Amino acid sequence: MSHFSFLCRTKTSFGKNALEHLPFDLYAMGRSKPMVIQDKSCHEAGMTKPLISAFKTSGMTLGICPPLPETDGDEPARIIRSMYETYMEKGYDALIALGGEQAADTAKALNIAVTLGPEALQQDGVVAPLFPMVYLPTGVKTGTATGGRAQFNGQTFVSDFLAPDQVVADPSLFIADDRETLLDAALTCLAMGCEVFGLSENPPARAYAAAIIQLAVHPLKALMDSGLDPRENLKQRKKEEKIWQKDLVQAAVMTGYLSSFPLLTRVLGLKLTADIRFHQGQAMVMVLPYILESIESKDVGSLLLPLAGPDVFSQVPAPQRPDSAVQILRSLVNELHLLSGGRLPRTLEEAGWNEAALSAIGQGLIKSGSLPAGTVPQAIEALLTRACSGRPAIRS
Amino acid sequence: MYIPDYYEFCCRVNIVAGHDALEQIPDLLAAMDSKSPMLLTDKGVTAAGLVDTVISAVSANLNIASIEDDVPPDSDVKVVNRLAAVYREKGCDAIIAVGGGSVLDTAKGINILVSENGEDLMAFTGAGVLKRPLRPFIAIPTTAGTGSEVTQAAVIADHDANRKLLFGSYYLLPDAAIVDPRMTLTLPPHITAATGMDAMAHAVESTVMLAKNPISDAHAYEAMSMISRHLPRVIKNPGDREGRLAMATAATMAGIAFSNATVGMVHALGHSVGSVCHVPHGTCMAIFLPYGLEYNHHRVEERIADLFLHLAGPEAYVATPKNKRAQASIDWIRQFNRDLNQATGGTHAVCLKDLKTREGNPMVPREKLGDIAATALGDGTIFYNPEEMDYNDFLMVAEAAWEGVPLDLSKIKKG
Repeated sequence: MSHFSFLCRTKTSFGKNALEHLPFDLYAMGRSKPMVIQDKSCHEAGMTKPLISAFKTSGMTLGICPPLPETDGDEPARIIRSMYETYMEKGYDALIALGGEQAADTAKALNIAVTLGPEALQQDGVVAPLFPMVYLPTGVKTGTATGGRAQFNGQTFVSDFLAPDQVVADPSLFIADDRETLLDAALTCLAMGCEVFGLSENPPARAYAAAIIQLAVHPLKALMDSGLDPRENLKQRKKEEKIWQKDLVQAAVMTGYLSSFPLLTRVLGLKLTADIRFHQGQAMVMVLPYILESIESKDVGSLLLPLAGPDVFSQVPAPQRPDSAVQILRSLVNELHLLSGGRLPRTLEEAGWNEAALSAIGQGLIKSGSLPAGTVPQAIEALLTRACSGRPAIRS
Repeated sequence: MYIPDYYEFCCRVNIVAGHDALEQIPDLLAAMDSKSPMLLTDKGVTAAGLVDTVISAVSANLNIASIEDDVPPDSDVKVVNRLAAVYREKGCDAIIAVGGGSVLDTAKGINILVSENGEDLMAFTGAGVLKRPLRPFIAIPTTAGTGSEVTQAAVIADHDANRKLLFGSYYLLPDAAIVDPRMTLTLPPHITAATGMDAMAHAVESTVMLAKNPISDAHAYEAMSMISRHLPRVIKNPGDREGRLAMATAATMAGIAFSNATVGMVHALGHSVGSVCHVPHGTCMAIFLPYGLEYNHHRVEERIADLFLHLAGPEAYVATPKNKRAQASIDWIRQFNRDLNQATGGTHAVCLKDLKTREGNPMVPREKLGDIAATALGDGTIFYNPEEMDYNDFLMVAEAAWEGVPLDLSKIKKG
């Protein structure tokens, strides 16, 4: 470790009755008239009801926008214009995004417009603090909602100032996620957490990553033990999924905090699932062992601690820990293949890729400059080739 | 992993760490549109040459509008008022605070007045009074221990009224904390040991308190692992730049952990001994830390056992049966203190009776233990301690810590 920097501007409030604290938190930010942006699924699930109830005796005025439409096209610009006019006319002073990434991205874009003026949406970069914005997740699909990044109308905005001031994750707002969604979230969090923990020399980021890995591993194991597609005991199944969802929402929220880290798992996960349809989390975890093998880092062995717990970590001799950690991840992918009756691929080849296409992806990434700093270009092609057939690196 | 039904976690400070972290200050201020910072510090920091180090690192790219180095050891409302006037007169637009708790608290007080255009600090006391971000503020800690650079509280004395003003708000947090090992390279071994144990107490106490959560725990474990590996190294070799950076980073992370998960009886007793007998805070933390774990053992045995891997490492963990790990954590901290005592030539005290003034008199006379217990009883940090404490409990712990003997576990009231 020679230098690092770390910033997470967001306050996390998690758990039972977290929503009840929100009016006090907004008051502490000097705000009394928040406007709520919700996506369609929240509207359909009636998730504004608990929100309204939490503000009932607060003395605050809560403005609730109509749900966002699911389609894109020229809709986002029109919607933002309409929301901007409402916000300014009615004198709102904060934003609450309720739902997934779409609600958060819309709130972030609107916040740029109401704080810096609508013309700021045509410019690059956000260099000044914005008005307070709070994000309320309703499930595990939060993507980069909690980070300093927003996609809006074909543009990508990146700034620490875009991160929500607060994330309030209250289970009373959670809409049930199916097993496939829970599995994908667990794998995404696990992959990104492992890459940060094993390869970054950034202690605060490693702390978040350790928490993410542990929060993801437990529900992932339970989910696999219980079966990926159980057909019996619906009541018990729903109960289990609710418990796993709570852990995974926390993991997903924290993973979003690390979204400013340039991670190879994410770059490759996006690329590998763009043309061939399989889950991003699955793709990330599939390439992760090859990434960990290809990059020299003394901390890969320490991954064994959050992945397998203190007993396993301590019983394995230090020189064997990197291989043990990588093997756990590899076994996980193989086990998922078995549990899914062969549906979930173990290798990129089984996912539909071939070496020539992967080589083209590798070269494309190298040329585009979208690889994280410090990535050795030759290593990318080599690791994709190995991940194609599922061949581990031969360690010297 | 322990996940409470409800928790909060927040640290909005940009942690900038490294061997050249000071050189990042001009860019950090420019990003906040600041051009004329006030540099705030105390005479001790100036005399140690640390202000010169900061200035030489930033002067090529930054014009410091004012250097003020007369912050007293106990931050004072009059000093805050005077320096706020200087800030305004000299057209400053940011504060760079170089020092420990008092300098940082004074900086927070000044920042309140100049940002809110206020004249009277009293109007801003208490929690949640501030409603908007304050002016740019960069903290440069000069000891690897207090964690003040990441805490949202400030205590400023009003000596005329014989009271302390308390301030609490996320807006008091610095915009950035500069963690640069050049700031601690010259710390003598006994201060390195005491401040390092201050950080260790923050990390350890935060993991056993009632407000702990997965994120505070992860920060604390990372911190205590770094301290246990690097503190002996930097005492043996004060010029070990890598070790100093690891210790400074660990102290900041421990600060983040305890400011979110709180601390308990170790701090209640530490504050009390500091107040009654003027013993340095880090020394009190080192002495009371094993007693805090011992007293709470029956309540949080598993949490104390979980510490052992991070303190002693995997080989010791494997060699210790599961049901002995909590006691092993306590024993490890006692032994760590004894090792530090030896490494500092006996200047790092392991019990209260060994503490001496410069003249060789006892710093904590035995007859003061009653006052210490009574003062600890009124300390706010006891609120989140796992086990309750009354006057007799505090006295029992203080007596054992005075002698340097383990607690008589049969005397701990379990309820």
